[in-house]
Amino acid sequence: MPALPILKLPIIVLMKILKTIDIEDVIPISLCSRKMYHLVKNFRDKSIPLKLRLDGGNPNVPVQVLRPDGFGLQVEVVEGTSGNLEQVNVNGHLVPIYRAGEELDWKTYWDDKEEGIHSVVEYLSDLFGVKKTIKVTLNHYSEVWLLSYIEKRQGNDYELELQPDLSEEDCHFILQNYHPKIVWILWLNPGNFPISQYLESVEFLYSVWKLSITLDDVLNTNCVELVLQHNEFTESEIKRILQHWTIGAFKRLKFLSLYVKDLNLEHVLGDLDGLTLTRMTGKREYK
Amino acid sequence: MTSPASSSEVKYLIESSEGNTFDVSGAALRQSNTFNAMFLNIGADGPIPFTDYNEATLKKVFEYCEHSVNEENYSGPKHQDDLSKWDLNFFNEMDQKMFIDVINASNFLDIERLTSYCCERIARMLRGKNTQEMIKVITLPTAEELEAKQKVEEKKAAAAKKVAEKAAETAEKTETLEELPVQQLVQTTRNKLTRKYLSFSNE
Repeated sequence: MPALPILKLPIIVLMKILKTIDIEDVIPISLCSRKMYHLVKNFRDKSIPLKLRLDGGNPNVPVQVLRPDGFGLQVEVVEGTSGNLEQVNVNGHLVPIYRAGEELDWKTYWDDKEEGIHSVVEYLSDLFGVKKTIKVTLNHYSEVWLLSYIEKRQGNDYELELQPDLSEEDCHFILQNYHPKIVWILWLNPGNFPISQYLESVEFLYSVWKLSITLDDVLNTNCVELVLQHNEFTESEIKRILQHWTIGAFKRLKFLSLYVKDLNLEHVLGDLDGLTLTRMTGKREYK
Repeated sequence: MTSPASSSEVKYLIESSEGNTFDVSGAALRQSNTFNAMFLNIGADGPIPFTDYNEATLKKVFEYCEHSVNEENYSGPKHQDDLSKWDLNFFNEMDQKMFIDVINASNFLDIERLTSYCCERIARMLRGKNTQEMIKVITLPTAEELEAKQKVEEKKAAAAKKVAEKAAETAEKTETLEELPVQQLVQTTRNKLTRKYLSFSNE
């Protein structure tokens, strides 16, 4: 393997090299030394906004670094020891690390899983400059402690994704005790979950599952963005919602997406006076 | 410098660190922003001295510039997979030392396209490697080497501290003497001399 003493190159060249480095190589290069950590942190390509995700649906709770297109890499926190692996310093802890070839998945081994997750989150958050954009995915009640950690770290400024294995009881407990600004509901059994009682502190709600939510709940919403993919509303209800919006009665609502059946848009819009309509051109994508 | 009729055929003489000179076309040279800033408008009376770089390195750099004269304007780094066969051969036939020299020269001459390709090539060399492999490639000191270096530095610091303390002590003594009134100083010196004398006579 040829040696390339890049630290001896002019700083402008070094900056260009670090800017060219792929996102998946940022982690191993940052672990080379404190100096490399600071260099790659400052000079890596920052043109793409990144998000951290704590995947509580996986027993190793991977901490993922995601691009808006969904591409990402992850560092898993495995509780226990491992054989003869290389050791790296993550946030002051010397831990074994394993990466199979060019894969985007690193496994780190910790005596204490909680401490491991704290350390990995802080390390990646600082390295990639993602201070608060964190999504926590929950699929098991046992990982609820992740929410305590995040709320202690940054208050309610985070996203929560509720996944299929959580029971209705779990969801009630979670939403009663934790108050994320953004809630993603990817599945809820048995459905018709009474979400409205928890909407006061929610800014963004996205659900692909039918929720128990009435017209009045929608009219009184405090959300900025509301996406209900499987709640059916009638033509008259839609008309009512739009009239409410036209007179400025929604406190904060900026985007609304509802499922409708047999809707005659001309009927609905024809009765709304003083409204200028523009068809949305861009496609809104949720990931 | 020769100056034939067409400006695109203008040739410039380049001088290397060995003092050797060779021709480069104006079109190739104009890819260097350093050249553009320094010589394009005012011209050059004699050979242009790029004497921080040897002839082989400069020739390699300008070989690249000559080749890319007719390529479209540079629009950001190209992925290595998109490089032409000529580009790949150009990079592959260089050894590591020459490659580093070419990067340095290209950076000094501010040839954006070549510098970017070189940087992309280095980034590609690091691709998919684990931390230990990267440490080897970029030749960072290992933990043991860092520890040894720290010990040497600690020893040096301790020695420097000793020297500083001694110097401070000496300065303090000198200061004490300087602060004494003249009469007292004379007396002190006399006493010292007497003591020396007495001491001598006792022997």
